[in-house]
Amino acid sequence: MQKDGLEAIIMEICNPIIYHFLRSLKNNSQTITIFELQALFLRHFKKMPSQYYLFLSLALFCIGVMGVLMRRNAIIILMCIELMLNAVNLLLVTFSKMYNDPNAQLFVFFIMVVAAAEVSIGLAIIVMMYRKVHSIDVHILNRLKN
Amino acid sequence: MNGANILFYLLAAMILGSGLLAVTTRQLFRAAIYLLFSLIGMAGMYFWLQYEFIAAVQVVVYVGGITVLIIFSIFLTQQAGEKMLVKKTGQQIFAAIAAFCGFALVMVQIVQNNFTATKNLSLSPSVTNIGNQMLGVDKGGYALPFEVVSILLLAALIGSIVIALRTPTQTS
Repeated sequence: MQKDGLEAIIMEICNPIIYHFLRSLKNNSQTITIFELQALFLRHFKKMPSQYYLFLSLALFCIGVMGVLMRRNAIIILMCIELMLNAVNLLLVTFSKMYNDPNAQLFVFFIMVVAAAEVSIGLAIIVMMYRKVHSIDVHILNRLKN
Repeated sequence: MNGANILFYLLAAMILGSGLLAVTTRQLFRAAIYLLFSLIGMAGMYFWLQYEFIAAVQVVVYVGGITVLIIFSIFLTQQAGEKMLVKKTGQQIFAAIAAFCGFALVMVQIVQNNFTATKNLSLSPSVTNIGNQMLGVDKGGYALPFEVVSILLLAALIGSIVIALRTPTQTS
């Protein structure tokens, strides 16, 4: 087995994508199986602690919250809602990876469907509102108040 | 630091940087383009986590669908080169402080909790497993939420047609 020599060094130093690319370039019969490759990915995932993914997701969610509170444009507010939904998707995928639970990734698809429906209806309502009042400023759209 | 970490940090910087630019820029079209780059970075992160099908769906639905929809509605509602109005500075500072307080609060909880990853390799996230689980009717199947979501999509379709079909004589 040549796997202990140079390939081990490549496996340790380069990232797994480059290693996979090298393996597919060589394309010989004694290539490593997909399970070994997956174990390799899991080891690298463990080197990157999963708290970092949670930090990234949380930071993106807070950017979305900040945008919703800060901006006056209705389209920007919808875009910030999309950012928040993406953060939740990344959180679900991270937990699915961490606990090897395939249920979480199905919720990702449901969230994507709901997000697509929500943004299409929301943008349709915004365009209709612009035709009536010629503005998409959320401070002007307060007729339900009184 | 090895190559894996460098790739993660690059993707995270792309996502967070373009997300931050999307919520702070004054021009609406540039905000949409920054949002596009943030979504592409998120798809790259899914590729990096080995969820290839979710990454593909992310590119198709978000980058190909929602961003194009947002750009269309920007063109329908915006004059060219028009700067947006901003809120008062006090409200902006309050929004930033509120978001940062929420961030710090959850951050403390994440740091204090130690997550223990499971060792065993269970189902791989392949398309076959996703399809079997999404349409399964036994325990662990998601056939009923799948149907409910399809009803929701039908309702959204009919709703957008109803909104778009309204003639100007009815609205005025």
